[in-house]
Amino acid sequence: MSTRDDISLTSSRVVVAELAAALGIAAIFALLAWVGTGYRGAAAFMPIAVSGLGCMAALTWAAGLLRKLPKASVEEDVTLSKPSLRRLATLAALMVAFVAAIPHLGFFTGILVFLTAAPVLMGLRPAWQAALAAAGLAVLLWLIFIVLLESPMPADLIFGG
Amino acid sequence: MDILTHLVDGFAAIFTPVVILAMVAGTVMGVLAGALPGLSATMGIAVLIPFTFGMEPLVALGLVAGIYNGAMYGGSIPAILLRIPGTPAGIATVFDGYPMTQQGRARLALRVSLYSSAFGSFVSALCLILLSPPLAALALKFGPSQFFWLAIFGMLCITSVLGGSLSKGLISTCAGLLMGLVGIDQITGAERYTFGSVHLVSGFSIIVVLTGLYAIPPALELAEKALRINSKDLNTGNRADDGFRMRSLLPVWLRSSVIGVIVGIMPGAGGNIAAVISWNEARRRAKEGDCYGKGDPKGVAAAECANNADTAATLIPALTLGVPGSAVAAVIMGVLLVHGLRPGPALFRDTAEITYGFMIAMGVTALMMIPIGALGSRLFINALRLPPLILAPGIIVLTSIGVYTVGNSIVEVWIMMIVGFVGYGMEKLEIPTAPAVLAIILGPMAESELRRSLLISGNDPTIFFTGVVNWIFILLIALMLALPLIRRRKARRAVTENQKVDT
Repeated sequence: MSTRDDISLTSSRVVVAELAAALGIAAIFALLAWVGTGYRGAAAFMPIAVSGLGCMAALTWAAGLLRKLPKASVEEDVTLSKPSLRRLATLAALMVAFVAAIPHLGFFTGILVFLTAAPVLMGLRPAWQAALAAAGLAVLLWLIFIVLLESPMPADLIFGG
Repeated sequence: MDILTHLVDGFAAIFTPVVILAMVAGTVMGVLAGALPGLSATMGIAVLIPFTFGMEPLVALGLVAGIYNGAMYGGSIPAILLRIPGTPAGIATVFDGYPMTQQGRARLALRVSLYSSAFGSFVSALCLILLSPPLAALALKFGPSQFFWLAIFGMLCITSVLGGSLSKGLISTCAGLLMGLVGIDQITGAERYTFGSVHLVSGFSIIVVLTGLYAIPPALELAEKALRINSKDLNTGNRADDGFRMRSLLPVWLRSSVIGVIVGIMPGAGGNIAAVISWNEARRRAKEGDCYGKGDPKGVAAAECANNADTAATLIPALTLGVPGSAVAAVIMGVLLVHGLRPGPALFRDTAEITYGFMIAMGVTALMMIPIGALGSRLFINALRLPPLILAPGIIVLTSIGVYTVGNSIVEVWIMMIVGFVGYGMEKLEIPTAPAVLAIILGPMAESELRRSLLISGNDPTIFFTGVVNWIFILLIALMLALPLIRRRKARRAVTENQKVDT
């Protein structure tokens, strides 16, 4: 039974979404096969053969889904949890922000901010747990990579270097 | 005699303080990774690969051996206490492990699981040590055409044995093959799929791809599910071991070890399959008084012994032929490649000390599990309290810094993240990721052996159809292609028969 925090989908919608994915994958393989035709001699064989096979496999998957579509139910029988999706989207967005920030903040300051913000924004309470874990991991990794291994790292805002 | 000399050298190489420390640390990390639901041996090793980059090969491989064996046992802890398998291989442990917990006998269940896991892992390591050298010696006689068919067979095996849709398996294989083609072609020198980027000229780094594919999706999954474990559920009960004798499990252990080793050698089949087959076999042979499925220690022993007996056996085709039969074997091959060791028959000839040392480490870590599991049981149980919302970003951090330090390039961190997102999408679309990883490793091998064969034969394709070994591989490939069709036909027949019974 779905609640206000759930998103209900019909089976037919799920099949349509899968069909779009299958056709998208087929298009990518077709594009890669076309790029492969630009290579000369023996270098072109594998790119064309593999992309072609991948395209055919994706189209076979799509054909199977097309056959399934008329039988798919129009009743709402697939549920997605909104909080789950929210947590997933938060983590994915913060991951991208974390990697983008590394050249500017440095690894360890980035870890401190990311590891404090991500759990809290995903709903972890009390927040001090996240702050403590972030500080602990940042210091531990700093000790391993800077003090012990002397690895070259981007300049860090807090930890220096 | 050669083998004995190599074994002695291998023993001498691993019994150094650093390697022993690595094996202990690996086993602890492995049990922790296995105990945490959502994490697995594959993920643990994938996170570790970049960190091993600067280590001596045997130190890195000692860590890997510990993680692999430890994770298989670790998976049984939440399976027994919470009815949640920590790893897929822990599925059959739930059948008898959780009922034992409900009866207040969790401590006994955990002890049975520990000893059974150690026994299974040890037998598996013995088989690896005994079977690999002769198989490698045989494979040394293979020519390029045989290796070409072997690579194709390896890729097809995992695609068709994994079950599910053949077309999805092929999509994954082709994606992996194309990733393996990126960069400069070794024979013609042509740049392929680099799109003018200097970062892609040397191709995708195997570390980046493996870490992205096996560490990022579990982290996203952890955040998605955010499974919170109630502290009061982690109760091991008050009942003592009621004088249970471990020796009484010996027949079950022997049978389950054989099942685990056979399943492990077969490409595509994993520890979960071994555990279920072994548990079923134990139940089929049940005597009066046995209560499989209702809290019988023999049920826990059968499942845990078999899934651990699968571990080292999975490495037999990977180490001897260079053909990984599972995702975890592919990831371990990645560790070998990172350290400049090319899996295949030459591994036993050119780097015998390291290869034998690694095989011995698989056996030693199996035995190490007993004291580590017994002394650290409270730690491993309490690890289940770790909030997944801290664990998920923690994994991202570890993989990012690890991948960065390998190439000192932020571009590689971006590539790892993109590969991770693609891997997560593949999991949601039920496209298996293992064939892609195998194809990245085996694709370049297939292409170079194909071209080498044609160069040797003066472009005569009959070289691929000459000799008994080639034909054996061709027949096996045909069988692998037919397998999904046979399976589908069987399923359809079962549905028709069920419909007949219903009417």
